[in-house]
Amino acid sequence: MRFLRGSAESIRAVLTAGSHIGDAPSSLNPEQLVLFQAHTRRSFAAVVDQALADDADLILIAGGLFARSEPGLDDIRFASQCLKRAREAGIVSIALDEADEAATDGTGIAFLEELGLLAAVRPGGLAHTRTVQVAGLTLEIGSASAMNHVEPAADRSFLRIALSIDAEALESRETAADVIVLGNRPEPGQRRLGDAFVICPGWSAPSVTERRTESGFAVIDLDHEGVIGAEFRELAGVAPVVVSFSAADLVDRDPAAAIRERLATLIGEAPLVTLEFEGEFSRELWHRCRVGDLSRRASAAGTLVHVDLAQLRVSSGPAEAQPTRSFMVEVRRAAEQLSGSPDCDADTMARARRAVVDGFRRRAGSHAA
Amino acid sequence: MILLERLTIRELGALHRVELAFQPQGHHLITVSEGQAQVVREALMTCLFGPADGLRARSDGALVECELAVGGRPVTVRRTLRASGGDESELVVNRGPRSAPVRGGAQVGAALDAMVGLDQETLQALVLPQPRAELPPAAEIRVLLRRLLGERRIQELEAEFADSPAHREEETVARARVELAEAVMRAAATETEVDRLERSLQRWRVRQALHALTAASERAADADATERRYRVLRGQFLDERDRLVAYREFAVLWADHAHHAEQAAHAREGVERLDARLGELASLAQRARTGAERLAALDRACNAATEGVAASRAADRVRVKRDRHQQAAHEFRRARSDLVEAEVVKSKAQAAAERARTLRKRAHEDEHLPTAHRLWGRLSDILSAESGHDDEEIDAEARLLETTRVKQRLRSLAIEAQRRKSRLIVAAIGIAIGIVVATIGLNGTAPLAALGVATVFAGAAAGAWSLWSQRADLAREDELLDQLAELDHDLQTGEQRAARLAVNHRQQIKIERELERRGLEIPASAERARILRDSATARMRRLADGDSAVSTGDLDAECARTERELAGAEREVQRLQARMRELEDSGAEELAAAAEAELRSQIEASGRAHGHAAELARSLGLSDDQRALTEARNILQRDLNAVQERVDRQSDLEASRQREQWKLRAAESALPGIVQAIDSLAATDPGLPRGQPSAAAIGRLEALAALADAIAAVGESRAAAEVNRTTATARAAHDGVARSTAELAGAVRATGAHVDAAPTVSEVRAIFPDLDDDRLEDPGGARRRMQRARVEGREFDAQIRELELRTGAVRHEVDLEASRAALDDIVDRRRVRAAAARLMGQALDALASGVRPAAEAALRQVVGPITGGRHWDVRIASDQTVHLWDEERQAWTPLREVADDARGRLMLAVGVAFLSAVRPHDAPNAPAFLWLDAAGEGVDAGAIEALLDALMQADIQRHFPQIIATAAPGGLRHAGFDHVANIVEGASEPSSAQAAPARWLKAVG
Repeated sequence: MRFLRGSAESIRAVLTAGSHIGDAPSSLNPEQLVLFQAHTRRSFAAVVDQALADDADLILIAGGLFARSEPGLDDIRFASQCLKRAREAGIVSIALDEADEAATDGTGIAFLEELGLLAAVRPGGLAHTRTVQVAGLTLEIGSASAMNHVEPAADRSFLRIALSIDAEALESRETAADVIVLGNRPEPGQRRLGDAFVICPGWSAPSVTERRTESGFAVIDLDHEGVIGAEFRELAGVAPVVVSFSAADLVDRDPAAAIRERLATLIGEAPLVTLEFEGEFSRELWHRCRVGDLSRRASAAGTLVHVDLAQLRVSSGPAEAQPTRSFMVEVRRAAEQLSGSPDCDADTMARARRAVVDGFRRRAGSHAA
Repeated sequence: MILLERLTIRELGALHRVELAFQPQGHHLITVSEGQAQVVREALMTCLFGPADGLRARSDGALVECELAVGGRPVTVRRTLRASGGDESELVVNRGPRSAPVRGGAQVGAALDAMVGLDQETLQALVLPQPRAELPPAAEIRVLLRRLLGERRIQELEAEFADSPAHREEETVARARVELAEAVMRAAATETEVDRLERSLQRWRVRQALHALTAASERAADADATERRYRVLRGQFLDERDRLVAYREFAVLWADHAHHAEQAAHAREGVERLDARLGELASLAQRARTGAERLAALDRACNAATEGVAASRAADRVRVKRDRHQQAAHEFRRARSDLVEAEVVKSKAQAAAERARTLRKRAHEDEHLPTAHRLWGRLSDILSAESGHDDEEIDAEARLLETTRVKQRLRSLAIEAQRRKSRLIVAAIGIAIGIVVATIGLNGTAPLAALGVATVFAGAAAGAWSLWSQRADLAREDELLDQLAELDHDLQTGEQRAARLAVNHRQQIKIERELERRGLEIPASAERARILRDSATARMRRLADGDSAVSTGDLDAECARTERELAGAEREVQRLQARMRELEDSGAEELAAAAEAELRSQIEASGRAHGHAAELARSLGLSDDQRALTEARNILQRDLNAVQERVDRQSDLEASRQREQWKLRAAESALPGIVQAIDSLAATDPGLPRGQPSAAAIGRLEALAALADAIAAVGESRAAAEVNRTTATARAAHDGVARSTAELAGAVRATGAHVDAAPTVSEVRAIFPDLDDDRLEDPGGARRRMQRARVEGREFDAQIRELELRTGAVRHEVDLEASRAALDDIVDRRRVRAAAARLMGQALDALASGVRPAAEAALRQVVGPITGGRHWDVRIASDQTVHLWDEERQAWTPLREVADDARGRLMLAVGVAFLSAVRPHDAPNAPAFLWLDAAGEGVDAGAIEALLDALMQADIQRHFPQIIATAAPGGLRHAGFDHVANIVEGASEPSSAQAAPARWLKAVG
């Protein structure tokens, strides 16, 4: 552990990642996209607000500030306004810029750096690390790859913090960092890697393409001894509100009205609602739910509705058998169906089924061998 | 389950050194150029199935290697391709120290086939989803399912359950043995039946012959009596007919007499009536001539009145035309003023559109401001670096010229030195010769000594001059060599600078292309680039500090609106100009004046015609109204026609009168001859009436004679015919008696009894006293049954012989019960096999038919996200076409009719849903990875992005834990992937760069 010789107070750093400002999932229509992007921005603003409320000294962004390599001007303006508030409060902001030269060129972060709103760290060696003094504590901050090029310091007078999004590369190398902020996972967590303290702050942005229910960030306290406290904070109101429906809930009444009634308190209030439909629905009942209309109404009211159909089954008729996708099961079904036919008695069909099953399994074994 | 773990490519096509690692789960993106993406895919297929035709390695060979997990077992396949076209293959299973590799193309192929069990076509169909608007036909799905379950395995099972020839032969023989036993039984029964029927028929024949003989004897006696009775009756009818001939002739003569007298009276009356009608016709002809003259005068008056009316109507038409032309002239003046106003509106719209375009361009620049800032900044640096090098380039060219000049000078100095060397040699030779000559002269010949001394001095002088000039040239050569070295150094420095400039130039072109693509200004100089960059910085600061900004979308809409207004104004101006030209061409004002003059002339013509008609009407004593004139003319015409028609019939009346006169003369000439014939006939027969009888008496007499004659003729002919018939009947009855007797004798002998040739009834009754007790109801049926039984017996015999040959058994040894038991056992086994085959077929059919609902369910999970929430249900119809539920219209929409932008995404989703639905759980080695190619031409990268987004929310993804996409750099958002590998210039980047995380490259701005 390296520390500054002298009398340094503890400092507080807000760690965040996965803000995804400007994210535009292809599955959203334009109205939903506007809501989602506004919600994403609010989540990042909430992180900065929390940093201001906690009197944080440092904001470390371990990747994922912008969702696109070349963010739009509105996104840059929003990020700059947030970071400007942080700067005016005396908070130093440092972001990982591990951009692929061919793909992104780091346009967004480079500009924010030019405006003096944050300092960027990039991979590529010692020259790309940043040294800052916060409340008497000297911190050397760089990317994980930059920290791999650093020789252990002789005077051990400062803390080294590595920002990374490459967990595998981290595992395979020895690092000179005291604290590693790993931003590659949406879930928060912490562990030890040798002498280093590895912390995953989780992602702060909401998601409609993954089944993720929480969004948040981390707060750590540092002194010259290293990390003296770490806390994960969930961003209230960012995660979607999940509402489930089954056919039994809707079959005896107008399903669209029933769904609207259940969502009446959420539409316009909650920014993100996930509707889960479960179980067996008749096609007529499913059409009467009018999910598209509900989604449009919700969007107009300012709520983004995400529909989860993973557990939904829609049948065209009451007697429709579910496909099994198993040859053995279909053989059994066929035997049950044919055993009652006039040209084939049950005993014959049972013997035939045994012959098919035995032959199929016997050959499966021989072929695999 | 087959998963990809690693793919290595060396020197294949445009790929030099590629190493790709794949995690067991996640979305993998390979950024690669279009042509190289295909090579990557072909490399994988080459590993699994050997090199394809047309795939060539480089001269030093190529290597492809892939590591797979097949059913959890690690498998490595390595193939070394030679430039000549051959290859070396090696396969290692488990990759342990004790794993023995399999070598050789055929052995590796067989080992892979045993493990994977899929051919190349099937594997490609399962891992490369094709955009589809409909599922494949059921037959194609069935084939795919069979391959997934193991085509060989299914074929072996089908062969096991199939009805083989041996099975059929065994069953046929068993069935033939049963048939043989049954045929033997039926043949014995048939023989017994034949014997019984034959005896019954013989007794029935005797009885029938006996009855026939009795009946024939009775019929012969009756026929003889009838013949005698009819001969007497015929003689009586012949006597009566002769008496009736005279009566009929008398009646006919009196009827002719009455007829001719009546004709003469009628003809006389007709001649008188026709003479009276001819007198009336002469007066009618005079009336017709007077009426024709009056009709001609009325025609002239009517024509004049009609002309007047036509002239009035023409005047009305001309008046309408004149009004229309006057209105057109008015429109022309109004269009001229509208055009002026429209041109004013157009100029205003042009100004507004120009302003909107300017604002939009500015907003567009703002939209790309961060990028523009970066690009202008880099361009400024490059242009600044280049600007100082222009003079250096000129200096470099001058130095190059100077170097060339110095080198030429050095070459000329070298040539001069060579010449001087030659001259020194000549001078030395001269000095030597002079010394020799001087020595000879000093020794013997004084004149020669002087010559020798002179020669020595001349040679010495020439040598000294050459040495002196050479020294100067040597100094100059050293100087030139120094200068050359300096120039050479300058040239090398210039070349290095030129290389740097070339790099800068390429970067400059790249940046300029980027600026052009984004529609941004390309600065012409470094100064301009600096100004633009500083301007962008200032604008970004201002925009970043600002609280609001007009969005590009609003400005685009405003610009589009003004453009539309401008286009509308231009169209309005063009329309009005065309309208003006059209009105000018029509000459509306001139046409209005001409119509006015024509109207006046028509009014005058109408007045003249009306005056002429009134004058004629007054002369006829009628009113001058056109309708009254026309009605009077029509009435006169009808009367005249009726009179003329009657006059025209005069010739017909004259011809009729002449015909009546001819009839009168003919009747009067025939009457005397008839009276003479009547008197002659009355004199020959006193029974005839005297004097002329009444017409009724003549009719009765004639009818009575005709009736009596007819009755007598019929009676005579019937009696003669009955005589002939009864004679023949009697003869036939006697013949029948003889035949019946012979028949009876034959029938009795057929039973085995002995009688003579003409047995009597009593004799036969004595032989068969119980003959009438044996009743046979249907002898014909009994005979047919007996014949049929005999035929069946013969057929049974032939069948038995044939079955004996087929089965190898003898008819007396077969056992029906045992044969039936053996056959039942064989049939039972066949039914089990058939049921098993039916089970397999039905199960495969059910699996194939289950693909449709399974694909539908899979597609339903992604259709909402893919269509941006427009559709939330899908239906795959029985013809396999995909339909989407349109919530707004409450109707199904065929996928082919969906809008173009969404259709591509949906079709790809249908392809993936089909692949997820078609995999049965019983196919353990189905590939669990998908390969999406966005690097190809015409591939919609947006469709792949939307699909990946949708898959992350759906349950389908568990069928494809590995999704691998290839795309050109920048073609797909990295955000949708867990792992990204870049192939740049034919080589993959090092593993650390590859791991640049997935949906994390999006994170870095």
